[in-house]
Amino acid sequence: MKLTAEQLVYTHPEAHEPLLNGISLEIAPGRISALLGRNGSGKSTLVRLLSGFLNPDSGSVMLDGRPVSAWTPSERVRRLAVVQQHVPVPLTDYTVRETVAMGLTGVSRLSGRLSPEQSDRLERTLAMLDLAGLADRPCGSLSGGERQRVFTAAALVRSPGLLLLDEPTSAADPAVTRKIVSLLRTLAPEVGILIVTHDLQLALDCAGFAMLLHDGRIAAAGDPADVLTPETLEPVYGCPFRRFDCGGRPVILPE
Amino acid sequence: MKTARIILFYLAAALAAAVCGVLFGATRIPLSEFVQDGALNPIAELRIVRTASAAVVGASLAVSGLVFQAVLRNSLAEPFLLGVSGGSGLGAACAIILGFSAWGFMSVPLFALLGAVAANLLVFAAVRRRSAEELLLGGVMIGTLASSMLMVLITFSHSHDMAGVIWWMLGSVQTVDPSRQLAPASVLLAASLVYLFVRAGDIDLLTFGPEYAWNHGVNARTMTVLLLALASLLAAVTVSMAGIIGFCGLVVPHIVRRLHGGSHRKILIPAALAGAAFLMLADILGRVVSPVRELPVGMVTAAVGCPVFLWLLNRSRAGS
Repeated sequence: MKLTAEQLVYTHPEAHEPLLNGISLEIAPGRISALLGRNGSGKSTLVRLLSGFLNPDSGSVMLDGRPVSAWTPSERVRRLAVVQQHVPVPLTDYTVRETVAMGLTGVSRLSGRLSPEQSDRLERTLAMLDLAGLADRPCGSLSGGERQRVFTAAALVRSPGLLLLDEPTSAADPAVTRKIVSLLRTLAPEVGILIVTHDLQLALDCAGFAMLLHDGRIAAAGDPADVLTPETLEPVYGCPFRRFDCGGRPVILPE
Repeated sequence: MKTARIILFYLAAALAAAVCGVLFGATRIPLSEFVQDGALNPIAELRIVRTASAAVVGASLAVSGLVFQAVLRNSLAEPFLLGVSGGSGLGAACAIILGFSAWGFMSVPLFALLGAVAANLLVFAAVRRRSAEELLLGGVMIGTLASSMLMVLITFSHSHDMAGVIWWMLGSVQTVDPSRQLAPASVLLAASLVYLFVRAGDIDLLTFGPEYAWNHGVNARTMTVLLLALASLLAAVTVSMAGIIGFCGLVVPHIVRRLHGGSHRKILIPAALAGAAFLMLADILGRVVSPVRELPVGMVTAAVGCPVFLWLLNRSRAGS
């Protein structure tokens, strides 16, 4: 199972210049990829193009050899799950269990009841993200980090082959970030993962491949240790960086 | 509360309102006189049709409002947002003022329905991107344009025509034709309930926004247009039957959602039953308070709904 993008060009409806200009990438099981770039560089837009929610001006997004838009919605989401950065607060305050159950496919449309296998998978996913204790709480009463975990669980509950996460740890505390990183590492051999993040350290620690988005193009791509260097980061972010070793582990910080 | 219990509660409320609707009115009919010589008392028969009409109109408006609020993710959304009220008002005014009402009893409802559907289609045709927000803005614009044209017609009309248009716009379930209006509206309501029940999971996902719904397997753009079109059709049909009845489609779904929350599979039927009960009770109130010249049901729902609406408005402002 893999997701490939070829020469994607996308211009925002209210803009004249393309936001993304000739982006190509591949996401396949066995590897965690990280996508980094400044605010407004088009990272979330790229995720929307990869998921098929937006259509590119030119170029293609292929999911398992077929254009992503050619799959039926239920076939697509069985293969590809997306955790978006900001999820609007719904009018109805669903519980954590209800919200995660919405991620399941093939639920009976008439009864809304889950099969024993689906219930089992739901409980396992809740436990996997430390949500079992919160399962009956309304989502409206949760913190930002807890809500983020709920939406991650709703994406993971259908065991997708490919997972796109747009800033999955932006509202998480260090312990939860560690937990999510460990979970992604566990999933990586079976699942192709793309993480959009501003956290350079997360990309260094967790990803096997990094892409730096700048001026609508991939400015650098490759091993995170080679891509996330002061020389490549400074022109992108416009500030100096310092990289040093901390017990054999590379650490990079803005100066 | 379990879903079955919630449904039973609202069913009991709707049945109680229906019984009251048949028993109470300007004239009291003792139970012993309901059936005379093997035939139903004519007044009782009229009241049964009227009560059933109130039930169908109330349920349709509540279901329509529930869908509008879910898809637009706005608790202040109501069934007439996509130009239905302005279009139907213009259609009815055309029938009354331009003399088409002489074609027969059904001409005013028919013109109202045509006006509502035409305004609705114009909204869908005029808005290119068809996101929920843009459809809403398009609806407000087309509705305003239709209302302005209605005002022009009223300005040049005779006073008795003007009174007819205003009376029609206040809303009433007094003169609904059982076979040509009530029966088709009941079929549309039943079919809509089945479709919406099957699609309740998709509606739940749409409440998180179109991108979230897309990421969980809902074709968000198509489903948004379909749901808003169905909800508008339900509203248009009620308008052609009973004029513009406000607040029922705004207040009832909001209260049911607030009381019972959760999935739309759980609150769809309760909202329909609550809407039916609300409008039947409003109709009874209009008959009982002023037996000689009945209050239009739209006026009663406005009198009850207005304070609730203001309460909602202040609550949502405080929340934001």
